[in-house]
Amino acid sequence: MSGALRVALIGCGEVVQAIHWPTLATLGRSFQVSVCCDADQGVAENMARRCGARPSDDPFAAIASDDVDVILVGAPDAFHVEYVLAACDAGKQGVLVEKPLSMNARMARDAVDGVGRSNTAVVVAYPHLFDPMTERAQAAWREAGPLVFGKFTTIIGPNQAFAGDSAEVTRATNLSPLDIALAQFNYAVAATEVIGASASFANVTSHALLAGLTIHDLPVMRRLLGEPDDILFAKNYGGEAPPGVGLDIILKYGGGRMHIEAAVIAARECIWGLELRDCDRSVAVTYPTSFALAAESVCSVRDEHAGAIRETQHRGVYQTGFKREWLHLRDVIRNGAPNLSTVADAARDLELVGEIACRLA
Amino acid sequence: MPSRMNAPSGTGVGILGAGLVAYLHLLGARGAGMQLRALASRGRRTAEHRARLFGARAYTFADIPMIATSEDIDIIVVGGPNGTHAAHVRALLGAAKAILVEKPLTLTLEDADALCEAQQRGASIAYAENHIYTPLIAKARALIEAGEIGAVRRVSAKFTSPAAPSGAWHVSDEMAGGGVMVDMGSHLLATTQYLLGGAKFVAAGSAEFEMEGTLEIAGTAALTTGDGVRVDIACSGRDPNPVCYYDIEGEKGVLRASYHPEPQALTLTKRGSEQQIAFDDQFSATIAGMFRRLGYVDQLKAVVAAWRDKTQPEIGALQGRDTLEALCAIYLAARAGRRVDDFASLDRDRSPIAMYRG
Repeated sequence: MSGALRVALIGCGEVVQAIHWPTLATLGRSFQVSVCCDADQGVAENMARRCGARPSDDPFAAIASDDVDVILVGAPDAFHVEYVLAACDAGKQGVLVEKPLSMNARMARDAVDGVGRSNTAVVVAYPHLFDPMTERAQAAWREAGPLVFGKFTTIIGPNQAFAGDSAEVTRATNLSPLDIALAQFNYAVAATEVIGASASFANVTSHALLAGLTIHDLPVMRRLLGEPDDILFAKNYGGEAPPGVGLDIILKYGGGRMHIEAAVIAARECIWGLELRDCDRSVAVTYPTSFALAAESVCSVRDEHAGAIRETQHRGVYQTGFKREWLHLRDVIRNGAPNLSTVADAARDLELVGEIACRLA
Repeated sequence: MPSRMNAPSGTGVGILGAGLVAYLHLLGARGAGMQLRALASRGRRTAEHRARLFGARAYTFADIPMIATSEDIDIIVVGGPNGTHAAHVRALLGAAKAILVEKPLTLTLEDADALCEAQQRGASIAYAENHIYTPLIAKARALIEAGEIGAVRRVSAKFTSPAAPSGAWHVSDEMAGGGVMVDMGSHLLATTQYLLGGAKFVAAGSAEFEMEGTLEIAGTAALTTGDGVRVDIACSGRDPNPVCYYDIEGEKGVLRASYHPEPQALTLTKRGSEQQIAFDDQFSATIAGMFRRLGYVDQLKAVVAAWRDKTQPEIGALQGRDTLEALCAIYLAARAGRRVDDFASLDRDRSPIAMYRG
């Protein structure tokens, strides 16, 4: 099979404009954008002009088009599953669906059933899972003993603070107050199904934070360490923004503890990484800032033995997880490579989100 | 790990309509400990999208008979476009389920008459005026009935929003039946009647509309009840700072029930002194508390309770027809530029906006 895979961009918001389109532009021999679809016609037309593609205002027609092989699902979370299933029904070769797969685990499981019945390769886009230094960290941690202490830190400023550095983002102009209200209600609907209607506003916000931000860390954690034994602690806190925008979570891994801290802050800052320790080895990864298109992540491995300390730093690879997830999708489609980020994995991530959110409540 | 809402027990709810109203009733149902089982929309795609989001079975309006006979559904909310209410209720009448009809009850008094007759024959038809079921309004009515402000002389009520609904059916005469006066004025009319102990409007006048496109974007009207209380209402779909309140002026004082924006407040002013009156869930920071504050929780509970007790809901088809009658009088008054006080002669087969068009 040769020739570029033709891509339909379903949803052309800032993540697609500032990350996926520039990334695809570096993979022209593998991917070619053929259709740009967005709920805002102006955004779709602008994107189509930039990509040399045709605009569409009908996502299902775009997905089913004969000139489309692969779908990027970059629409709002509430629509991810139906577009994935539409791609499967249309017999498309592949789908890259932005995280989170859906708004809660129950909705995500609909995708698991549907994808399982199809031949469509569906990869869930977790840039940190595909980051080159996550792979390096996994190799280094394989030689380590049981976890004593670990930490995932995700503290980032608002997307708009970063997106404009990667692309000139065209924003939707047709959002009514009702559209905005319904988008907010979607979070309440998804959260109250899991944590109950007696949930506080803060806990509803925290559920959204878990599903939207902490979800970056969970698949990496599960890849490196497996499933946690228990959730020992989960608490949200306010700060620079509405209630529930910071989280502290402690998970049990055997005798070890994993601390996940996550927060959305107002500042244009990005503190993003992980650290794992056993008794004499530590493995740490620092991820690049949000929306960076070509940037290095760094993996530091520190070993202490017989009073001597050896520290090795792995870096210098400027290919981000965003590019590598597209390359992975291509490998799954073209070469039958095993899928490293399946919808079943993503559904389990959302189950863990729900379990943590219930612990908050 | 199972979600907390997955247990297939308790009262089952079906919702016809997948717009904002569906969200409000879904979250009200969850606050009431009820389980949404079915969601219907005109189109299959919208129904499937919302139903997946809500965790319910998806249907189209053509499937209403299936919903009507679902054994796991006890109450059905009729919340589709205004012009569908009459037909949807008719399709549910033989189902022996509780029916909660969103405002306006119907678009014509003729259709409203039919639903009132059905109610009188035993059908459980409730009218969904959520403001009435709020702790705010319940407390306000209790204070009025206790004589805190003396005999009521006048009510001023206002309801505004930053934009009028813009969906296709909202701008259609046949489906909407009117603009902001139907959409928001109906709340003010029904709730005022409730605050006044079920008073009937007997006259409508001084009605003025500002039109935008084909429907009114703002409107005012003055009505009179049978007890001689003057009721002034105002609605607008272009207020960047939306409000909803009821000012009840009595011989001895004034009560302001402020429904929106948050925080809701109930203020009693007597002899120049202002007192804030507390009410249930006033400051609750939970989803259930918020939707109780909006009236959606207790509304569902009350309607289901009446249905289970085989009694008629307190706010039913009769009250819905009263509201529609007042609306028709207002639209006619706005067109005619004069007071309308013979409600019995209002055309029974024309919608409010048709009254305005002439």
